[in-house]
Amino acid sequence: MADRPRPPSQESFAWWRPAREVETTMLPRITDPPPEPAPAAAAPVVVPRQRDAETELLPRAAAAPPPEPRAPNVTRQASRWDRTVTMPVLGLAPELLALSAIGVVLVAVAYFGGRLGAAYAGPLYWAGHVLVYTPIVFRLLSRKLTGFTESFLLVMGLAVNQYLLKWLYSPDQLRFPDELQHWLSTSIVLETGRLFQPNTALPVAAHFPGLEEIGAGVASLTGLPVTASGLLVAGILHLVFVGALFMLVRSAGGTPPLAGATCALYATALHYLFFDSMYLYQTAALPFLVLAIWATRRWRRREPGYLPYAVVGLVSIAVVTVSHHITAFAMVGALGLLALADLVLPARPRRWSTVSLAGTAAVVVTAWLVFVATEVLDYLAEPVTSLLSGLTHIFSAGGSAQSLAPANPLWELVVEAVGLLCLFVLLVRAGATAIRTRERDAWQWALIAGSALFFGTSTLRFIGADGPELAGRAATFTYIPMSMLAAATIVEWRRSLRPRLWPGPLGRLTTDASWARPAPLGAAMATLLMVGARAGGWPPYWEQLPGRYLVAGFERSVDAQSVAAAQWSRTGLAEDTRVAADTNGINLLSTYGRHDTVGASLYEGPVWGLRDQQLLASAAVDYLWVDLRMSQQLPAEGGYYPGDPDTGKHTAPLPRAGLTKFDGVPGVSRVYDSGDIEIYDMRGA
Amino acid sequence: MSRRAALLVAAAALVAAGAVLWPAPAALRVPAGLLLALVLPGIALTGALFGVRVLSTVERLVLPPALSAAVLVIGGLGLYAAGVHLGRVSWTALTAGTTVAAGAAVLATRRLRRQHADPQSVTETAMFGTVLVAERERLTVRTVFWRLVPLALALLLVTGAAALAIRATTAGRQPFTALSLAPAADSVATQPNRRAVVLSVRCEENGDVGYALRVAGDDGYQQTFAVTLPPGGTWTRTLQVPVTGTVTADLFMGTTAVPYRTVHLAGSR
Repeated sequence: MADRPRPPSQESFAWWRPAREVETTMLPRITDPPPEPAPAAAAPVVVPRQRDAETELLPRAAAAPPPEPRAPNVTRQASRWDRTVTMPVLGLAPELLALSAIGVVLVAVAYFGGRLGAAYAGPLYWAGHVLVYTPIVFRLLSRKLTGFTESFLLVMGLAVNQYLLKWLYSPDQLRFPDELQHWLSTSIVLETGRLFQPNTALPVAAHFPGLEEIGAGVASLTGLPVTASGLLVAGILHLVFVGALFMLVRSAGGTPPLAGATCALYATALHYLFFDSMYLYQTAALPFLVLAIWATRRWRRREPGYLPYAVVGLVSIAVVTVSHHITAFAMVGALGLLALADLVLPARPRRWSTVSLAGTAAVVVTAWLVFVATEVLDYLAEPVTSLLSGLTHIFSAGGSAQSLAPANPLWELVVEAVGLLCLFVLLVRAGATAIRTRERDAWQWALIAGSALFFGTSTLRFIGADGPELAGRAATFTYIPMSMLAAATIVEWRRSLRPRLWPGPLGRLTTDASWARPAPLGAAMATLLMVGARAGGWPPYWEQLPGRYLVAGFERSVDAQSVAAAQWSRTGLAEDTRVAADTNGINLLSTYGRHDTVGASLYEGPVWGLRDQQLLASAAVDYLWVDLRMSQQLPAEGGYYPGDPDTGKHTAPLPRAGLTKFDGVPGVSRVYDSGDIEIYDMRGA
Repeated sequence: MSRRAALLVAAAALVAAGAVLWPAPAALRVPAGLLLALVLPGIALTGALFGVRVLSTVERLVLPPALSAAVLVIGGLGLYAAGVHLGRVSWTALTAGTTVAAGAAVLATRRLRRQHADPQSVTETAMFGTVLVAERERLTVRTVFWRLVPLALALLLVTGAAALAIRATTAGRQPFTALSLAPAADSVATQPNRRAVVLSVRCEENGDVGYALRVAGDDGYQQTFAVTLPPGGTWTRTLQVPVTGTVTADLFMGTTAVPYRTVHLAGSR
């Protein structure tokens, strides 16, 4: 095996040199692989009368003594096993992927234990995650990495194993609210054969049908149910995204180890493991966002044959635009940033591909929002308003409204903070190096600007109640340049540490120490980031493991009893009616039941009174969903239902009398009872 | 893409379309459908678009599923705009048609195109300074076998993890029985002063359960039923109950005297 690739230049980020230097098309033609020493295993056997040129090339075989006479059948068997074949250099990828798969098994056992409430589940969960991730990232940063095949195999194997961690959490059904909303959209496409049909669970999704088209297409063609099709589609799109990211780094001049390291570092994004690989419209748009950027890198207007890249770029822009609004904005922003960098730091010859695609993306996205998805601005206004009010509050009152969701354990917050600090150090170092060397490459400055934006959006988590969610959502996009920059800096780390900077023990313990190499140092940092992302991302710490029912616990609230009640409501309740419910009830009734839903503040008082009667009338409630387990548990998320005025302040579960008071109200019917869940017909109240 | 490859992909698309459109077992239809949806159109389009360009291995692996998905998205919008019902036939026509058309484009334009690089040179390589190293090695079949054993082990392990996860979905599951009583949506009363209601029991307990049902209402109305249901079983009956007053249905499990589930339906006052 050869040593790790050496960059052509001694400057920092030299691996980001323009793709021309490393593109395979520009490389000298390879007609035959260079002769290599024959493996020892091939030495003893020379098969008589076998005119195999490859065998004859083996020097040891040629020099070997004549074989012992053997029975004909034995000779044939031996020749088959000892025949030589050429294959890609896999390096340690098979062994490391097997080790990573053991981590997958550990997490599966942890999930099983979580369902049974076993104490071993938590430690096993973290051990499994580390085993899935760390050996692979260590190898990707190692100098002994053999090249493209090993790097790509490790990256895709890691992506598969990490997707499995998500799938193993809930292999039988979609549970996250947004996934169920897209399950409903896809079901509607399958039933009606039409797009843009209203979806009461997520109205804005009706005008972004990209994911639903892929899901419905797969379901129609395979005959699989929507859930199975959705899981398949999400998994494949997730893998395409990772492959496209690898492809993008390669097209930007990155070596295979750098491309692999970038993908492995991106796997530490807050929402990478769950949110970005769920059956959501963002999952459909993300690969095409990366493809659009890749197309701009590959589009050379002054070279013949640029048209295919222009076509892929335009197709990618179109798919992103009709698939997801936020990704569409991110695409315009990313292409705009690259175009700006190209204009400020023009290349010779000047490239117009980025400017052209950025302009096209801006026009297409704007046209879609103006003429088709007109409600998007209203949909996005709420979180933006919340953000602005949080900012206003900071400047006027010296503080911000905090998120009302329960905070993570302290150790998880510390790990998250240390991880962010590491990234910040890498950004500062990259920026300082670029300034010192008077860097003129537009791509590098775009990366630094994008990475700075990552820290800018990370501060959103401290602003307003929706801050943490917004920061996590934004990180999906801003973490792409951050992971590229971090990978480039780590990969360059060893050379830049100036060996023998300090004499004596100080040097041996620091810059010259073996731990200061990219593999151990980078792998440790990446593991820290991964643990921080799993702790601070999705699912929240209180549902990292599947288990018994939790009130207002998102995935942990979706149990068989709740689903059965929601499914019954679709036929059991009258159509075009409104149902008041708790958080989980709203999630399931709006999707499986296809009802118009509203948060219920009817549970508080122990006795039915005038206030309840007025609330019922003002919210136009026809039916009421009551989950009696609300009288046994505090809400995991902080509130029992959307708009709960006591969110984050509950100190005791709701009184049971408040949940059973409806039985005594004249004209009210209890139409459904499954023990924990009751549904009331309130129209006669 | 070579002429033979283009023909092969187009033929595969037609075979897969046949498997999707004609009744075929799931073991055949699922892979055929997946090929049509996420593989073949992308391969053909990659060939048609990049026929004269040299693509790296990773580009050849990533572009086909991406372009196939794009065909579903953009083609689906086109079909919708044309007023075509999006169903099995239209999705099959779209994906198979795109594949065949792209394959035909490859064949039609192949002679007109100028090769930019010799395909022989398209070996994925790594840069080691200025030294180019081909990433292939020559091994004996025995060595290859042992090199691939860990990958097979990895596959075995994740399959085991998947089996455990599927099995675990029932672990810690709470059994339950659901009772419902709702006005019948599509039936009318067959007797005077009566209304039609639907009474239903769904059993999700751990084993077969014997239930006793008692339905009572005004004017001395009462009916009883004995029902035995297996796990996952459902029992439904449409009843004619009094229009006035409240009708109550109590479900008893086993021999207990306390109702296990109770529902009630208010009547006109």
